[in-house]
Amino acid sequence: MSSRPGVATRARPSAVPVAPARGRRRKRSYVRLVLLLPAFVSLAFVTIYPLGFTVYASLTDWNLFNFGAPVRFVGFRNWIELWRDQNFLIAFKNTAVFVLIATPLTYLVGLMVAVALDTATVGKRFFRVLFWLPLMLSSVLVTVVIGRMMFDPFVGPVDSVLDRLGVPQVLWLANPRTAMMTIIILQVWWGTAYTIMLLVAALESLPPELNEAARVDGAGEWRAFWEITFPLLLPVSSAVFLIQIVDAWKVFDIINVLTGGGPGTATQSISLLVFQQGVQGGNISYASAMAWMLTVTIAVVAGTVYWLSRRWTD
Amino acid sequence: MSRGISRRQLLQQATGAAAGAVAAACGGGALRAAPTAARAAQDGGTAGAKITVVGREGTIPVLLDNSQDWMAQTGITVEPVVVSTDLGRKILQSAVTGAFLADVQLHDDNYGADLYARGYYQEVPADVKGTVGWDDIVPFYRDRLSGWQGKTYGIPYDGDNMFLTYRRDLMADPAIQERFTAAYGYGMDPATGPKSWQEHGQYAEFFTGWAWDPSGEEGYGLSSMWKRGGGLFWAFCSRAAAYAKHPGAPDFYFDVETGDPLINSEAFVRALTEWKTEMETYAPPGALNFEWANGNDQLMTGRVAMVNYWADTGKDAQDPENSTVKGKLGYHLTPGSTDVYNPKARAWETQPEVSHAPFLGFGGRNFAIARDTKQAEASWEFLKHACSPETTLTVSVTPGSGMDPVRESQFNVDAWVNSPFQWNPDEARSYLDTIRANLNHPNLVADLRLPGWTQYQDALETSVSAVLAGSSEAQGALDQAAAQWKSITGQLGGAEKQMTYYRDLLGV
Amino acid sequence: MRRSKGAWFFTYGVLTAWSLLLLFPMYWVVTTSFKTRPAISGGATFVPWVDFDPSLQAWRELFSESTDRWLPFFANSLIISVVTAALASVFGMMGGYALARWRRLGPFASAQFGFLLLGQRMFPAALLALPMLIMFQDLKLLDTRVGLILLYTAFSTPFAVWLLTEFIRSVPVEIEESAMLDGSSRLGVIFRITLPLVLPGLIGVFVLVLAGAWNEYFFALVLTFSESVTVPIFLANQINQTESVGWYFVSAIGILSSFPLIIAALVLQRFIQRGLVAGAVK
Repeated sequence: MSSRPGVATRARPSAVPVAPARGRRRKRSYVRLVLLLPAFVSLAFVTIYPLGFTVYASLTDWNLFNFGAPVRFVGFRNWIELWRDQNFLIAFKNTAVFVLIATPLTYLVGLMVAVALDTATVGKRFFRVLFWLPLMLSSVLVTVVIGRMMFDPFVGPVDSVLDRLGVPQVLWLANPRTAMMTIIILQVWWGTAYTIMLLVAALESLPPELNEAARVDGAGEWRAFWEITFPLLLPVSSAVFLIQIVDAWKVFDIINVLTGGGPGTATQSISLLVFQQGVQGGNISYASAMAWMLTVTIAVVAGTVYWLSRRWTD
Repeated sequence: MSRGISRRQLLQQATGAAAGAVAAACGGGALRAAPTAARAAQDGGTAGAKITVVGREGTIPVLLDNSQDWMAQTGITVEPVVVSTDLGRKILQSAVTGAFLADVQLHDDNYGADLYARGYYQEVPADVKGTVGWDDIVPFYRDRLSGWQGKTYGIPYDGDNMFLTYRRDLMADPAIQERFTAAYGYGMDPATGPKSWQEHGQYAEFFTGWAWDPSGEEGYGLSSMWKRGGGLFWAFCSRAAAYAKHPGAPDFYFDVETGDPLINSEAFVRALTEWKTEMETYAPPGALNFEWANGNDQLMTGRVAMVNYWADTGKDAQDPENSTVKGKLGYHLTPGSTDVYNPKARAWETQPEVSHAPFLGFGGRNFAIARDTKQAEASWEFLKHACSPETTLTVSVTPGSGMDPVRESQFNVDAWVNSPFQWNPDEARSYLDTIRANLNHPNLVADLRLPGWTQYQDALETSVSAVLAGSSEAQGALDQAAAQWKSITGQLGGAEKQMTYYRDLLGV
Repeated sequence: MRRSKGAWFFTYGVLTAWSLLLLFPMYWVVTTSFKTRPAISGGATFVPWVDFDPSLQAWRELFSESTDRWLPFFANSLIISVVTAALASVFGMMGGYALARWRRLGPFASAQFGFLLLGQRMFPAALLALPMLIMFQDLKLLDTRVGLILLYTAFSTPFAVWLLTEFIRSVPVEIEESAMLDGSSRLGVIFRITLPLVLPGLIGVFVLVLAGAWNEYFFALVLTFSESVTVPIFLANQINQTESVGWYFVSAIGILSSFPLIIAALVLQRFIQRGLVAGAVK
């Protein structure tokens, strides 16, 4: 991935470390370590320790509520149990559905808006600023205010407007089918801002002569976009996709605030299940196995997407 | 929320109005005792102490408003700790992880097993029991829910139980009665509402689909809590109790001997199937998403004729700002059934009379003192005041406190009539009689107060709500919940251990 | 460049539609905060003075009667996010400088570290929450602001390092070298020459980390009890209460909680956008 829009062109990295005098090599490497120490400690704190811990926990029968009982090693029992657990399978399916719908949708909407924004002549600045504002809003705020208030069947405007148009009341969160849809709508509303911003930045970094050239060749705008611009967006697009996919697999905030996984199990996600079982239910061992399953899934999916994007863009 | 304003105004009235009633209720003896206790506290060197208290939002401010004099006398300052997420689970997490939350805690009884078993709280000293009128407390709360393995850790403060709250005014209306009789061949009983689930179904059908409320809006039969995490567990168990609780057997959730879950028995399956039909046909649209508050609002705004809810509903109805049904409600035991399932014989039996099984859903709240407190003495002094019969009564008759009767001295009609609620005497009597009958009922059903309670709750709620949402059928989903209960029991030390606790709870 | 009519319609059609989708909820929140309970529960009302009479009730309640209902949470969030952002910026500068100015660190190339730093992004919070809960319990950090600051700083520092590495690399090393030849110390050069040049990046990092910490939900949910509860937890709890939701109050709180960030975002948008873009695409 080569394009790095927005960041000034990279200066030559110092071939030789900046050093006023030789003979101070020892001190330099010491300085380097000190400078990087917070980053290393942070990394260990948020990766090595938790990863090791959860692997260990997933192989035991550790349950915070089994008070006074010793923690026993049970091998891969939790990992096997997962695949017989209806709740996990449902959560896995729901999460996959969420990823499969929300991610492409976010991208497509984002692409459309980004292209429109890039070609706009009047009011560009205004739209730009407006379109990325959702990024500054918290997921909770978006969920509470839009998810709950806008879609509320009694006080919300969505059903009220639909009602005036003669559409029968849609009970967004009370219906298992529309509940997931509502969550996807929220995710798109909130997540598209990021996609738009990245794509606009990429579009702006393209040389303006490209379109002119296509026009001279007599290509229509539609064809020019798909044949010239779009391929040039592929590196950024794949990065955007990768980020969105990884984030979508982790979905928690929106669901926990909005539906708690219901109605029934219609919106139960893996992260939510881990939270319910591990944090609230005290079943540290089983929840660890579940969380690892999620992590492995993310790694496999992200790896595949990355590999595919490399094959396509190169 | 908006009740902040009205509550404050009401409080000012409360101090005047309730004082007389309270004094009458307690014969004045306890009132005299309080200042004595306060002086003792001063002598004990607790003056100047600062303690923290955590509890349900609503209750604690009311209690502290009623503790200003006590604080001035004793020199002890009590500060509320606000927990901004689900309080019960946070207290539980605090017990499990050792994070200190507050000196004095008002906790949900259902967590009692998990909290008491790990010694999270201090034992209640005998002198405190003496001061707070221990024998005044309703026996079930006093003997079964206040302790663990023979030791007492909590002082019962809130007596949750579920019963039928219905539109008495409609059921007493001759014109409406006539229509009902014409349709079903028997008369509605305004004094009790529907007595059995069969009658309840007919009442619900009758009140669905026409505008019986003065608001002129189309009405519905009932509302309930069908949303996962929004009270579903209690609403469902209360719905199932009359079928599943046999008067001759203690077992409800589990077979007390083997520990096998009974929640997938024919009784529960039948209750779930009927409950789902009620939700789909006799409840307002969106009922699948009703949790406690919006289910409750349906009754307050005159959209439904009945709810099977906690005692809060009757109190909420008294506030004219948020309710259009003040003075129009009646209260009676949750409907019963002549068909009762016998868990031992695994067969239905027909009872000669309608059998009721009142459900003490949620199980109320106890006051307790954290083991890790550094202010044990001052904290107990505070509880002597807070849990005294007169403070308890004042708090429970103050709007917004959310505290339901748990003591004999609270079944005092005058205190409720003269409180800021300004209850209609007949309605207050019906209300208090129902609660009293519930709490002392021979066939009452205790809530699931076992270690790991939340895990059992989550498992059952998940299955039941999947059925309600239409993605599973009743028997299969409840079988799955039962299998999960079995596995939870296994994780928590096995059936033998859990059933020892369950038998303790049931007193067998 | 001349453009076809169709393209023009596409452009402004999409822009208008998306703007409305974004603006309408914002409009709704703002108007709701000026409604009273009856104007909300009586069904949706849309235009002030037309179908409801605006009232300052929510705002009055917020600032006069019930400040202790929300102020502690805002104070917590403010302290936690500002300290986190400051720490992460400092650590980010340190690490970023090291990675930008030295190509190799022992046996590894600097670029490899960059990849490692971003790898943590893949791990779901669900996986990290359980060990954090146990660790916080052991270290007595549960329900403390210090605990959340440590955690958020640890999560943000790798990101800050990675981002600032890019910015520092864009400062030609010759500038530093020539300044040092004039006899300045390295630290002096960093402060007087490099820092001002990467200030836009630093501001971007600061605001992004600030926003992240201000808005974080999952870990706050798991690790706070009462003393250190933050705004998102408070806000989420508003709709999960047993009483019916006071939407006018929730709206007012929501506006209050996002206002500072939106202002910062509008004023500093260039810096922040650069940070966000650079953080994602490479």
